[in-house]
Amino acid sequence: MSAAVLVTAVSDNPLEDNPLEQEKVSLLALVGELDYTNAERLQHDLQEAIGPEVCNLVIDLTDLSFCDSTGIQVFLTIRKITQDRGGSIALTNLQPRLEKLFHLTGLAPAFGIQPTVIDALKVFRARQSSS
Amino acid sequence: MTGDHGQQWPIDEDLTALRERLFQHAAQAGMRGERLDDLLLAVNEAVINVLEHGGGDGTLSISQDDTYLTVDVTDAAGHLDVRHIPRKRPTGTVRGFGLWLMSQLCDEFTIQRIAGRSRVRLRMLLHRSPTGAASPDSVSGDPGPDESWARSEVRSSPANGAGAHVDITHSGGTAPSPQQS
Repeated sequence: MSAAVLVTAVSDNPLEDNPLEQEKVSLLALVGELDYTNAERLQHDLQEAIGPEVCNLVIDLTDLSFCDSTGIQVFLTIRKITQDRGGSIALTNLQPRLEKLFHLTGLAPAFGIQPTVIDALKVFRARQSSS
Repeated sequence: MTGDHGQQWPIDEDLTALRERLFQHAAQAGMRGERLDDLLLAVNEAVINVLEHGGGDGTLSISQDDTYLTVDVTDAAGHLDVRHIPRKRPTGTVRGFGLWLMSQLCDEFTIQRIAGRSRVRLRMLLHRSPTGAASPDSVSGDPGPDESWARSEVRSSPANGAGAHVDITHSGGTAPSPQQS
């Protein structure tokens, strides 16, 4: 079994102005290799990290060096949770092999993929100020 | 199938070790970068299939010749066959993503059922010419004993793996319907 993917909640806002709570966005970072053998564990850990209220979620994938089709299912499940709460999910900083995976499965648009966390936060901010 | 540099090992849940081992072997064979990544993901998907749907019992073997690096993933269940390969990208379901990815990532992807077992064969050309095809003098040779099996063959388009088209031919059995009814 592969080592668990590490989930870290990031509290510092890279936009360096408002605290993240004020943005109504949670920021998580993943470290490791996500595959069939640790996907269930990650889903549990992610659900724990976002708790019962978080609806807008940015996940920084800078250090996620591998993801397979079962990993994609985890992201789809978390996406569904945020959508059911009226929010959305953005994945950022994908390594090339992950970008290719999302491209080939046609799921890139569903995950609001952004180059950086700052880009994703700006998208959320623009959306909130226009609603 | 084991060639001069063939290796075979049983499949288990240590996918990290499997990818590492495969990485070493493919790198030694001269594969690098994106194509090596593609092979790792495709083989990982084939192995997941064995763990999830193929009874969990199977073997992986690697071999190489002048033309191809070949990875065979064989399960003991024998449920998987060529009709399961999606001809279009699956939508609305995550089932079938693994087989779809294998078809898009490798230069050749075949499934054969042999004596109650299913064998997924994933091949990568080791020396691609600028057009993406193997040079003519490197594709000659024995086609092997398996040519009469029903096979689905997928080759990458010249541009890159992401633009691969699916070219499925059947030399045995009946043609599958998209719904697999």
